[in-house]
Amino acid sequence: MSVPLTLLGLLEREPSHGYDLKRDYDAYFGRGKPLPFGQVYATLGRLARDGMVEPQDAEPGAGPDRKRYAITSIGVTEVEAWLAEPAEAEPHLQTVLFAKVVLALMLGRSAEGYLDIQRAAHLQRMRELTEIKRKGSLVDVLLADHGLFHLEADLRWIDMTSARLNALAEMVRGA
Amino acid sequence: MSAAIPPVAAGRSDRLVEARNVYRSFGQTPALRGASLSVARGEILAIMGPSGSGKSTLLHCLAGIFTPDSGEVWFDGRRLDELSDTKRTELRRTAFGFVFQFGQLVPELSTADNIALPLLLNKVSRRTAYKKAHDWLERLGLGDLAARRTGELSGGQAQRVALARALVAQPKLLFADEPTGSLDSLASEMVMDLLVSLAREEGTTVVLVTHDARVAAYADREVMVRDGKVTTLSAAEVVR
Amino acid sequence: MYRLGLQLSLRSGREALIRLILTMVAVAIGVAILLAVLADFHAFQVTNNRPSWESTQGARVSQKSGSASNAELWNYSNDIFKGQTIERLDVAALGPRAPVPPGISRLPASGQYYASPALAALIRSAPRDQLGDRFPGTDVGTIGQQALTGPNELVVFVGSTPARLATLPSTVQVSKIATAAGKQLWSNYFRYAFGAGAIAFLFPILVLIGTATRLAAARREERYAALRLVGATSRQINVISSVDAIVGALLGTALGIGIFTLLQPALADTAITSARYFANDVTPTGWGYVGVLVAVPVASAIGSFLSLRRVRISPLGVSRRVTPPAPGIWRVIPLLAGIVLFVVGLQLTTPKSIGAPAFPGLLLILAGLIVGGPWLTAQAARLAPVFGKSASSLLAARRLADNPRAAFRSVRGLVLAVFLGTLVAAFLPFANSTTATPSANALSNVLLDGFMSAPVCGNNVNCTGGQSGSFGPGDVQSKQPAALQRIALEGLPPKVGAQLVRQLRTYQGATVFPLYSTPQDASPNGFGGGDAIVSCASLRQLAVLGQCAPGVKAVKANTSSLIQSDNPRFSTDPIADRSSPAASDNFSHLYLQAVLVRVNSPATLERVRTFLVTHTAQSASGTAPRTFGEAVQGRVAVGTTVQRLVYIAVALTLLVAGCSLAVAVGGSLVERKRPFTLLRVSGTPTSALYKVVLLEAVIPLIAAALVAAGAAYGISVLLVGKLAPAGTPVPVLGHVYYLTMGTGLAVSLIVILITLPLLGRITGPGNARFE
Repeated sequence: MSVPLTLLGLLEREPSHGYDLKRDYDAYFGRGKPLPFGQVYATLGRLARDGMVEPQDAEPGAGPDRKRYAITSIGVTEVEAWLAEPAEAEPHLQTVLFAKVVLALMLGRSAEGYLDIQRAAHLQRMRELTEIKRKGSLVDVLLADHGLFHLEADLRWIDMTSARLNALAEMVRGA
Repeated sequence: MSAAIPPVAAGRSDRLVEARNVYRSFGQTPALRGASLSVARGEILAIMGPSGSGKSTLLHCLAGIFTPDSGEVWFDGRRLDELSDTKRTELRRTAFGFVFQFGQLVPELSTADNIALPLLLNKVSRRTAYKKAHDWLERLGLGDLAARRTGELSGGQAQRVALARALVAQPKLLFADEPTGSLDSLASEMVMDLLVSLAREEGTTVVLVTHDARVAAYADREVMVRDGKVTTLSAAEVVR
Repeated sequence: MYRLGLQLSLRSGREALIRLILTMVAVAIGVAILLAVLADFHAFQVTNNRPSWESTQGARVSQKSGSASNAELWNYSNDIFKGQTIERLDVAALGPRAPVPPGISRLPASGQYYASPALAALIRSAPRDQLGDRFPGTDVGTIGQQALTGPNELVVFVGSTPARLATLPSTVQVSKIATAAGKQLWSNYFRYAFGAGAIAFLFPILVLIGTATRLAAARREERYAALRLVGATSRQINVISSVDAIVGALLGTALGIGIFTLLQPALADTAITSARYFANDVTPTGWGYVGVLVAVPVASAIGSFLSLRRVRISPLGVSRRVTPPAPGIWRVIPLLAGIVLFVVGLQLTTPKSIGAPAFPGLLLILAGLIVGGPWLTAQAARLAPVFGKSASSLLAARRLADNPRAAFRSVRGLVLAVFLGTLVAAFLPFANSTTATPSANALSNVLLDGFMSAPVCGNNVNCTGGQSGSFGPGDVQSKQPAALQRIALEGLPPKVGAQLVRQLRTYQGATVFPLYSTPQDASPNGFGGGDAIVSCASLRQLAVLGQCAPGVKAVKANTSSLIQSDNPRFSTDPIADRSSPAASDNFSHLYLQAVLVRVNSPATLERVRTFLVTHTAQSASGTAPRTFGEAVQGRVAVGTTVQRLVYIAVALTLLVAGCSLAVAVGGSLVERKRPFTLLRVSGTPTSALYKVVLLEAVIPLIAAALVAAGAAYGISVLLVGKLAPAGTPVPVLGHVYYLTMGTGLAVSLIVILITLPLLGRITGPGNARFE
């Protein structure tokens, strides 16, 4: 779960204060574990240092919690690249993928497309595993089966989410 | 996302079967709305999609069972949708093979009979037809089931026999519609394994329709059918 | 639950509707035929049970007869006109309270007669000298239906005086007219034949109805499995299934009743049993309708229930299909046993009688064909692939081999019917030929009239010699003056005889051959008709009856068979040959024993007959003079009727076999709908599938017909070979037989062909649901 990129993505909507970002993060992605303020400001600081965000004009002498941050074009590109890049076709990536879907919806991008990209990656991995199964030893077969079933489970989730995108979009935009 | 462009095969002659902008409705319901697809010679393609997406209709059109309302279907350099029903039936008999989810074997015939059937329909002599059937049974490891009635076979055995029947006439193109849909995991694996091996050995092009990802994983490439259109899942296609 | 069943039956979409309609039509046809059989049988029964005045027994006429005031004299005889029998009753009242026969209001007086409507019409239309002159007097009325068995019956009640009647040989005194039934129009043997024929009709119809019901049930099984899955109990399923069956059967029965009602007038018209019945007798009666309305739906419901039981509907539906076990070889045993028995019986057969073991042998062969049929079918199906090379014949042969019992079930009735039909067709001509010998045929237009009033009597009559002329009442005992006795023994006196012959010769187209009694035969106790003298000229024209030595003018011939036998087989035996002693050709003093008259046309025949009836004494046999051809016809009539019935049963059975085959084939199509559809998707041309269906239906049909016909024909040939005198040609099946069989088979084929478009529809690739 990449916190910096998620915050960056949230920032792309509009310039925000740190506590706004934390609030939104907790709401969508926290899953019961709120993000510590410290981590938020530390991440923002790092992002600013890397040139992905820039602080907006603030009262002079205000602390980091008073600053408003805006995303830079470099940051936008970074978000873009991250969204477009499929995650490693490993199990337990729902959280990452989920984040991407929600963000895509918030940003008005085509979530369907990202899902398709992920699906393709998964299928490619499944193809590789299937090839291993056909040619490998019995142990290879068992391991490959394990991977395949989990990948299939992910794909099922992707299908279901795909079917629910409209409802999800409404929820996100309405919030 | 814009309409997907089918992956371009290297040259026209490499494309064995192709659908171009096919429209097909049943009554009021449109099943295909401008579906386009091409399959290269020797490749194994999986057509995936949710139910109601039109993937079965696409298969029907590719196989010449239906003619599209508009659009073109090409097979081996010739227009398929312009042929008469008799010619298309003949083509299906000689150049295509079909495997279905279930129920294609005639239950009161033996396995050898069922496999020999397409050859007999093509007016091959009985002796040759049965020789080939027995060869196929050996190849599939089902030699001792030659005289058994197919109504008494297990699901996996029956599907393997169906596969042999589909390939016995050495078709150029094999259509498989949910071939493992009614089988358990192990039997599925056996059948799909066999399908791919045989296809590669014989050089048969395969169009595989399935909703099951693990089955689709046996193919070289997959496409999605959604709302009557064909999309591919490739990162390069995503447009802002 | 009933309402649900009703809804399911009537509103389940197009396929279910088509199924319902097909069941309806099948049941309707079966019901219509059933009603026709019931109607005909009812007419037969009613006619048979009609009070038959003809069987009235009378008492001897005696001297006291004149004083009986409540009696009358009856003289019952048969006449013939153009091949049709006329029943004639001469009646004379002895007193005011004499009983009146049924159908008329009062006895006809002398010089009056009552005629049945058909006879009255004939009398009006035919020339008087051919018919009308036979009945002296005027027509005073019509005989009512109570005295008749059918609208075509020819009956006449002629009024007469006691004096005249008392002189006739067969007169009896009647004081009470019989009201009991049993005219013996049809002997018991024929009644059994009719019963067997009715069963031959019913059996295939029941098969048809059963098959239609079972076909519908097969498709419903899927639906019932689904219902079980949602928790319907077996009992509820039974209710729904019964409702389904009853709806189809009820509608079909109603339709069948409608069809029958339309055809009823035509049924009454067709003389199926060679005698027309009264139209109002040809009805199944209210009970018949009610019976059919109740029995057919109930039978369908029961059949549906039974077929459900055989396939226990598990919640998961009928899963894997198990091949039924092959029919065992034990099935051939009855057939073999029958053949053995028959062969033994054949060895014991002589021209006089059929060897006893042949009958059970025959029955066993018939039963053996039915029992052994499935086994034979299985063997034939195994051979089939050798003959057929195509995929279609492979599919058909395997299907037949897979379930030969089902394949044979459809043609069971056909085997039975074709066997019987061929047996009758091949055997009956021989049976007829025992009557219609070549000699009888040669004399078919030769009429015989004997004048001796010899005591050949029938019908329990009191017969004595008599002659036309006046006599007082009574006094007709055997104490006769010698003159009368001589007439009784030798025939007409010379002058009377010569005049008769002269008068006969005036008829154009009639050639008269007189036979004269030999004088030595006048012995007090002898029966006349032993020897006769006949001119060789006559004999030359009647070559069948013998020949003279050359140069002889007249011979003494032996006419006992000719005159006495009523079986043309024997009565046309030769009466003289070269060794017969010559006789003088001066006939002027001889008594006329009999005349043979050759006629050249029916009109001439009737004229001659009318003349003889009105100018000579009635023969004691109670029949007007007739030709040998008519005598043959009379004997042959019963056999012809049986043959007709059997032919109709066979034709009907062929039709029903075709229908039930079509239904069975339709059912097997439905069972193989998915594999066939997918075969079509895989590129199998429709013509190949059509061929499969045709082969599956046609092979059993034709094979069964051929085997049954062949077996029956073989049996007939063997039997006739043993029974007939040497030189009888091998029995040949006439064109009526081939026509009947051919038409029946053709119609069956057409019915089967009609199911083909159904095949095309249900296996259309568009129907395949690709999941």
